[in-house]
Amino acid sequence: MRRCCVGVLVAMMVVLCAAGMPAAQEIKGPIKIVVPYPAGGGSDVVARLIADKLKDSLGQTVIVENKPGAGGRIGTEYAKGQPADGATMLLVNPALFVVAPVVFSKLAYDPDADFAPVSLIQIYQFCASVPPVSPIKDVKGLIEWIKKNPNQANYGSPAAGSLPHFFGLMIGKAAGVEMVHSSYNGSGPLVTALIGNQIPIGVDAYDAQSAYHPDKIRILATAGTSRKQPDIPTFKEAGFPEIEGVGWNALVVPAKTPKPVIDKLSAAVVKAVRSPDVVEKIKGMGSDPAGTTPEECSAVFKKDRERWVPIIKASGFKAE
Amino acid sequence: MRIRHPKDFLTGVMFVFFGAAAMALSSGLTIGGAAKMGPGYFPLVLGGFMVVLGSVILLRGIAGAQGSPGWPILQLKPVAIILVAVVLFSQILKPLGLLLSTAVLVVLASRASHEFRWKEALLNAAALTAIVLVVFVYFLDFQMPVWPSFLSGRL
Amino acid sequence: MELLSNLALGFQTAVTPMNLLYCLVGALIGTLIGVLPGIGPVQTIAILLPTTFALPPVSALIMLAGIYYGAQYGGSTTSILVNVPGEASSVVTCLDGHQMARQGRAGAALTISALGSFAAGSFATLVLAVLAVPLSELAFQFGPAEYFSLMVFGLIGSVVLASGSMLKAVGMIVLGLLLGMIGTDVTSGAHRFTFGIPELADGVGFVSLAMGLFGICDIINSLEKRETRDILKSKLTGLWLKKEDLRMAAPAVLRGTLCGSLLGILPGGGAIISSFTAYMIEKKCARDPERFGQGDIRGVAAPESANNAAAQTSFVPLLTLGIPPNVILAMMAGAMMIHGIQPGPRVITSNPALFWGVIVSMWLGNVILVVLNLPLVGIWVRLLSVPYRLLYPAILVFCCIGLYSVNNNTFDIGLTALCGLLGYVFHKLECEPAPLILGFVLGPMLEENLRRGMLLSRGDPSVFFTRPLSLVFLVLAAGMLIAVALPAIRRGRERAFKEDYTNV
Repeated sequence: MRRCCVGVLVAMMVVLCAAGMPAAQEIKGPIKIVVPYPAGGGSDVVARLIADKLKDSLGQTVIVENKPGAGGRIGTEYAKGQPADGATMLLVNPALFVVAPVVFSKLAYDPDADFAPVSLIQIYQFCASVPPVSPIKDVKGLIEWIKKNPNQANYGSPAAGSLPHFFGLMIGKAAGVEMVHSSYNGSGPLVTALIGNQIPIGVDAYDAQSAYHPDKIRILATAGTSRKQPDIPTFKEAGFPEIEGVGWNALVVPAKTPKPVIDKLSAAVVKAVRSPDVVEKIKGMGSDPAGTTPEECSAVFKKDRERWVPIIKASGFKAE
Repeated sequence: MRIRHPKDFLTGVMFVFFGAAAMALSSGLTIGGAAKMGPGYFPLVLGGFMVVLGSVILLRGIAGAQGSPGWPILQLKPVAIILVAVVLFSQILKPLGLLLSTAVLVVLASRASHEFRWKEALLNAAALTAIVLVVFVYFLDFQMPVWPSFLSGRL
Repeated sequence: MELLSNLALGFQTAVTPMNLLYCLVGALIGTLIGVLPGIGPVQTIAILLPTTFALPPVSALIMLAGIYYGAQYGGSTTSILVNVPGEASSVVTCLDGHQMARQGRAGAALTISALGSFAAGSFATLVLAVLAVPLSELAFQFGPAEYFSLMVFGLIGSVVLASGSMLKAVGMIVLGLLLGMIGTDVTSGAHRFTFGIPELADGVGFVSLAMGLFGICDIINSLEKRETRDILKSKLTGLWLKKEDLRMAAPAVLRGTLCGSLLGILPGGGAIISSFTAYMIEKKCARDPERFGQGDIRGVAAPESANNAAAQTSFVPLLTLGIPPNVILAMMAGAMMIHGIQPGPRVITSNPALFWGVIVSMWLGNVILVVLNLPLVGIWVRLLSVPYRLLYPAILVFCCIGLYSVNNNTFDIGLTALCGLLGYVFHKLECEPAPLILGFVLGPMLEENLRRGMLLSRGDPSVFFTRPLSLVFLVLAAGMLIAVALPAIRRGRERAFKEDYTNV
């Protein structure tokens, strides 16, 4: 009797699984990409470009849902609570996945436990710039100037606790001077202050500053592994190998999403990111298209955490 | 002791309360100095100023030379009903959806009026729900739950 | 005559049937969402943004720009009729506009706001065309010291916004400053007064505060008074303006336009600040300041002109430098980027048709708006004949939905109820909310720039006095302080004394 029951159960499970297997790869209903920022921003624009392409390759409706607030943490928490069936993806960046877990004592999500990576979609670089009237011409001149003028050695970043904030600290460390950091309310005000010579040094994402003619903003160096512009060196080339690192936008899903579904999404995202017009538009914004497997994406998360966490901890920065 | 100007007196009490609250809350933050002000510096100074200002208004309320319009008169019904209706709307929007919530808000809020009539309120609710459906759902295509979640299968 | 050929190019681009249509559609949608309380151009543009991706970039921008300045037109309508600011920048319009409506002069108020907006829009478009590049330099002259001094000037001036007790007005400003501190501190990144609520990390939303203090509070007060608002039905005088109205309003429109055109260029809430400033200037300039707040047409004409002019000139930094001065223009920058146009100084040379086409379309849009709005005045005024018991639930519904759509979050609705309660208490204690709103808007910028100034100067406060522009603002602020504190040196002081300071 008991064996019979077990047999029936096993048979039922086999049937269920068999029925469930192909269904697991099929994503029900419209797919939504949660963007934890307001519509119209850089992240939102990229998400919409991808959504448009995914529509064709997956043959499903793909919508972008903006859930702004608290620097992206509200949208991230929201996405964490969505069903893990592949119908919800979330756009994340280092601020949410690398910095936030260190600087917030009570964070409502855990990047590793609550989410699974799908694909890296875009990589952006950071750079240090000076106003056009500045006597500083290159990285060497920058370090010398900081050493000579420790009382004026101020730098601006687009936000307190952003990666540019920490990049600035590293530059100061290289010069052996504790530079004073002033955070602006985003890239726009920082750029205005920089062009108007209100602040001597600005550290920001490359795409926020490269749009200006060199007679408005002079970019000294970028922080990537290779040159972004033929005439602007990387910090590494300029003799500061420790000042290196990039930012990214990636798509993740709630952690319990089945692996086959993640793989399917990842393949579709990679295809979307690599389509020629998307590549052109992402490059037009000053950043680079990526498109990776979930494993590669996961490796980038891990590597960046290893790079940044000690620096952030050493800075003593806390958000609460 | 008679309070000569109750409204000024109460305003003073309110300002002192907010000022003291601001000071108490900012004491938990980094204060810093003039050269490097912490997040608590500015609210602490403002809170202190507020306490002083509130005290002045409070004292003038007690002993000022002003004639007084008397204590404020409160009617609890309208303020309670309107605020409850709005808060209730925010709580039921997700589970019940936009249309039902709108109807509930309209009927409940209508009760705050001294001219309330059931028939009229229900008609108004029906009309406004229809307008909301057309304007926000079909015309502007807002991202919000329209139907009750038990009907769309997800909770 | 480079300007003429540029404008000709602009007309060629803007006066195609398709672009005219998009201009009309944008202006129409803008007016409608401006009228709906709580639903501003921010949410609408966010919703419509994806649909513009399919359009050619010029048409997309023309339509989005139309929504933006159309909303400035429409926003005043709800302020005047039902005392709910449809737009952040029309908070000040409530003060005198709604009083006019109560006196049966809603038609005149709506007409002057449409005409004032049109005059301001046309002038600001011209400013944009002629002075875009030199004006863009203005923003660069503003360092932390200049911003701080400008804010001080604005705050001292905002005492003028109140018509009752001065001490209470000062208290309300400080309370506004404190409310503005809620959220993430820009300078340190620390959370302040958030009580661990993540939704508060971005601070109290301006829409929540304005909607609560004005809209919800006004409904509660009307219900308390058992107003049937029948006066509004019976006493409707002519819709058109009287000669006397025009004579008084015309200089106010002019001053408001100049004020808005200048302040619109500065980053951060140009339209809001300019409408407050214009109102302050009017009240300060007037021989009879006590009439403000009682339904003075100048109190409608000046801020309405200012916010429309500012909406227009806020395109200067975007189009010439690629720096969006506010959220709405940041979204337009996003729209440009998705079309592969990097907003910035290169637009004017690489896409002259786009640059001049958008500018010309703004003027056309203003023509469309005034043509659209003047006949609507009659219809809007008739809205007031809807019995109040049916009208106020409708106002609540639109407010609540609008509030949800700001962040797709129900938290803001609850927060607004709280602000409504606060507004009710203020009303009972005869504390006026307008100075609080200005303190709330300016507070974060004041603090940020004070701290940045002190930080960059290593704690030396002399920067605020040694930089000429900053000094000018401080001197003006001191002058205003004296003028406010010593009514004896003011003209017509007996009258002012009697009217303004009976409560002190």
